Amino acid sequence: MATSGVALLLACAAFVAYDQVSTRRWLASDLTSQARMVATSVEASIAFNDRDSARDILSSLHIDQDIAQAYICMQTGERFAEYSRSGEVYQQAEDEQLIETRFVNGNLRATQPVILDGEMLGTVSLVSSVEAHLATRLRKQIITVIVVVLGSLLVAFLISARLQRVISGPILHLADTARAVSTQKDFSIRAASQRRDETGTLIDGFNEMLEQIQARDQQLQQRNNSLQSEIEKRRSIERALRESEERYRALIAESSEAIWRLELEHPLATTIPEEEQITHFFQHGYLAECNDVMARIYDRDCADEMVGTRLAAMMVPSEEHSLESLRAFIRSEYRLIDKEMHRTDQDGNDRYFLYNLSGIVENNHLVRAWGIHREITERKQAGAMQAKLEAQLRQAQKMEAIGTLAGGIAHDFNNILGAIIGYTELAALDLAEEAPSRANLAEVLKAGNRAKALVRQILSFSRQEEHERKPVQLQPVIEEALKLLRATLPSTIEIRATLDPRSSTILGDPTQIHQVMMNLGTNASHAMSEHGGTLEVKLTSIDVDSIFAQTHADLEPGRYLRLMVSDTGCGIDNSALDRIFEPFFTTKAPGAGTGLGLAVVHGVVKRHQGAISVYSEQGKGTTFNVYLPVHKVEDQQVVDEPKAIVIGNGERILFVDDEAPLAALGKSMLERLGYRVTAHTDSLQALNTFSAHANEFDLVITDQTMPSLSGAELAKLMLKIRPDLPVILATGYSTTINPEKAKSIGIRELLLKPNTTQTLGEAIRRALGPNGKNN
Amino acid sequence: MTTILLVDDDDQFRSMLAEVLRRAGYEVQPACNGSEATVIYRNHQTDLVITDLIMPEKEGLETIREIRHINPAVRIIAMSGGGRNGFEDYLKVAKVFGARLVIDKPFSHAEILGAIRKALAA
Repeated sequence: MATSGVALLLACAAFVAYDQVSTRRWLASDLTSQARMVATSVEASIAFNDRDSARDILSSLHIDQDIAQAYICMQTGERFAEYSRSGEVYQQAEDEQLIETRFVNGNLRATQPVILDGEMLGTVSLVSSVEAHLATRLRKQIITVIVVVLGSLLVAFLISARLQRVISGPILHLADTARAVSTQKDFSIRAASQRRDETGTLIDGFNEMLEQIQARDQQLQQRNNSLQSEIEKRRSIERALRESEERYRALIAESSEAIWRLELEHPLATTIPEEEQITHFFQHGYLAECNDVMARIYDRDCADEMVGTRLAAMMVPSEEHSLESLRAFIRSEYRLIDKEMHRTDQDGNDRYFLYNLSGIVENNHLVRAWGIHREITERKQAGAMQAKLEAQLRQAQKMEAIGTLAGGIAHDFNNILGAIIGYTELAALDLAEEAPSRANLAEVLKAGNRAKALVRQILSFSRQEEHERKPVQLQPVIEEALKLLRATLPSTIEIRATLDPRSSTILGDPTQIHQVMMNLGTNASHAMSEHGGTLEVKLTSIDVDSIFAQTHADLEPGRYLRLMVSDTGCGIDNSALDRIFEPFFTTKAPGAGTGLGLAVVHGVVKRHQGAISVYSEQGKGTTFNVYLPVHKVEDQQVVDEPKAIVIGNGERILFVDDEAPLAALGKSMLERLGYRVTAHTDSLQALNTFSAHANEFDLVITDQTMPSLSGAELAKLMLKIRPDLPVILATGYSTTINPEKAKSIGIRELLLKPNTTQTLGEAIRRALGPNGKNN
Repeated sequence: MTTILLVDDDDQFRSMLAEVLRRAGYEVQPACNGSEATVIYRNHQTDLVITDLIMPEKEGLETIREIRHINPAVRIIAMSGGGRNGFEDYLKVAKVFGARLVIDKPFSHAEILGAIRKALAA
């Protein structure tokens, strides 16, 4: 509106200005024309010098209101005639004779020449007071302009008001709607439309657009919702995955079983030949994950140290059992259940495991495998122990059965024998001294007496009844038996007895103990019958600790008397060793032995809650150790305080024994004594360890009898590497190696197996010397 | 002449022992089981009774008890080829029942004759 007003005003101003200019021109032209006409009119007057007529002509100009003055000037400059409307005398100007029309002092002056016959007589000048005229005209025009502008504005306002109703209203409504939509984000809002004109179309278009936006918005919303729920779903899946991952990690980390994952750098085609698959395993297999338990199986401290280990470093590719396991894995379609595995750890301990291995095959390619190792060492050892117990039970049952049978037949058998022996004696009585049949009858008698002895054995074996138990001092009983043995054994056999006179009493039957000594002694003498030898008998008391007790199922921790009976005879071969306590088992020639001697010994020892062990070396001899529990009451009265156990000071000991349980036992005992122990069951392996770390060991304790390299040989080699090395040689058999020979090799101590923690501790102290570490 | 009642169910053994005892100068009255022995002893109390323990019909321990019932001062030697009654050794039980001496079968002539002398001397 204002814009229109200003434009209109400017247009009007231009118009007024133009009008003023054109009015001036027109006035000038008009005045010039009048002046020309007057000049023409006054020609005669001038020519005739008729001033009055000239004056009259000039006075006729009063008709024109605007002409204020008129005058005629002669060439001479003399004023010929003049007219003035107001009567005032016109002031002569210097340039008034110039032929021209121009505005002077607000008045328009037109001067025209008066020419007659080509001769200029003078000039006529008309002066018009145009300013007033122009001012009046301007005023009128301004008023007109104002009226026009105002009128135009009014009209324009009225028109725009009308137009607004028609056009702006709907557009503003549209704008409001758009704003509402944008501020409220509500695309369901619609602009109202009742008109069928352009704005109506525009609003319809707008509404349609909103419609589409709303539809799009709803789609978006729906999409958004579905995305949201998708995200939610994914989050919950992620959460579940994370939880599952955590659970799985915890399960692996906290499992008492070794869990591990084997990855292959390149998946293994399951269709290629077996040997190529094995090669692939070793080339590309590595441990990608495992727990600490697994790491410890492989002598590492924690899983981090183990992860990344190549399969080839975990199982030796050249070893047959490694290949065998992989073959089994491949053949069983990459799934092994409860396979057994054996491993010797860095301390030389045998460990047994059951493992499951489960391969993941994708598109005929094995990508990884999961494995679980469960240690069964204890179970295995317990199993071995149980097998031993079962064997003992079987033996006991067998003995009982034999006993029952023997008891049943003994009676009749003795009657028969009685008749044979009796009649033989009678027959002999009837014969003359020199009769040749006497010698034959003597043989019959001898055979009869052997049969009698056999039946006695069987019977003593079958006498399972509880004998009267009383505290027995063993030393006199053993001495008594030895006296009998001395009388019966050939002189080629030397008897050496060391009987601790302070040995405690046991609760038992002296007759039976006597029989034990007699049977063991007789057996020993049989073993030495060919070449003679030494029968060594020792009676000592020992403290059986819990570790030592593990060596024998029948032993329990406590104080025992140990009766050692050792011979230097032919020895017992290993296959026979397991059966020597079985009734009727004998290695002697038919007729030379009853096969009951050791069975009886075994029975007696068992009835005394004792234990018996045997150690034998073929061609060297045999040692039996009988353990009988010390009578408790007596035990309490014994003032003989157990000696203080000599403990170590962290010295490093290399312990070698080919029997894994004994190696473990020795290690355990020594560790209890405060030593650091490396145990080996293989003497060659022990030698390797020693040669690699010769100066790290303070002492070597080795068993004598071992395959591949005996203890003495091992000691010799080690002493070559380190001549100052203290070595203790343990032997299960006293005369395997004599002290002189041992000394010549450089062995510091000879130790008779089995050992208690105390005897072991004392021997170590002696070998190491009083100053402890490597004297 | 010293009389001995010899009780044993084993004919061969009894005959052998009877012969040995006769040769040694004893008068032997054999019986093949405990019942027969009891009847004989009731009719004729011998100086000594030697009885086996495990016998059919009437076993040795019962025989000893019955004979001692007839004559508490009877001298009895029990002999046995072994066997048990429950957990107890028959020969030990025989002593409890009143046998002066017990002897394991089989035995030599010297052993049994020595035992007889000992039993009669006590």
